[in-house]
Amino acid sequence: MAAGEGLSARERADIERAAQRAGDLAGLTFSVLFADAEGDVRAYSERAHASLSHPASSVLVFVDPAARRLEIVTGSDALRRIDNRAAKLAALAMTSGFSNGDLAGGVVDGLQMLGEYGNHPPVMHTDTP
Amino acid sequence: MVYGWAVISRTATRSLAVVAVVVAWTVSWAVAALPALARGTVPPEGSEPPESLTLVETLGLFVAAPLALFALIALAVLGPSIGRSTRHRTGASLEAGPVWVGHGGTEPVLGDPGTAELTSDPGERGGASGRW
Repeated sequence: MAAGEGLSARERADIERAAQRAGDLAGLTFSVLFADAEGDVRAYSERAHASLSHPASSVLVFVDPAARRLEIVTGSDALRRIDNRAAKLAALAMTSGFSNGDLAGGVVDGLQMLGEYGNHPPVMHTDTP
Repeated sequence: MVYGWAVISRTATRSLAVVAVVVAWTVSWAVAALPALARGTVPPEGSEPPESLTLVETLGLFVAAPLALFALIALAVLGPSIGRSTRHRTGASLEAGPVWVGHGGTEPVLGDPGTAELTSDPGERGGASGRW
């Protein structure tokens, strides 16, 4: 069975556009993976992230609809623009949409948040006196 | 790995229920009005009595035409949502297997995420987790 039949063409196009827009904003590569994770979900998503062509500058949004789990994985370069706090906020936005039964809508909202946050990365030097 | 996914057609069911209620309401009013139509009305003096409608014409004018109109409006309003009713819902497994979206519209050539080796230090990665 061809990959992607779980989502409608319109949903895929919406997510595609959101990933592209977020990538343009943040200067990173955004990928979304819908899959049923085998074993530990976090480890599975990190392996998926590592299998990307440029993992350092990539952000992976991993969604396991069956297990109701979401993982956002940021590479080393991406982490400088999107810190874990921002990723957590985006994850909350996504899971909020998922709770309403809207899988694609939640992903689109989260990608938008990640892109906007990546466009305004945190200023690190103000953290130290 | 066998994937199974479910498509919820709740929206379509709800839409059909709305259409059924509208149709039932129209038919009930049309049937209630039929006796009055059968009795007819007293024409003003000097005017020629109008030709009475046949049963088929009456049904067509007062039942079929309103029904067609309501069906058309219902279709125009509910049609788009019926078309979207096949969207994937959360909590359902993916029959199609892993689905990648992103990378500028091209499907990335990736290894199997389940077996790919981690190529960087875990400490260099970040992110967040969520449940719903």
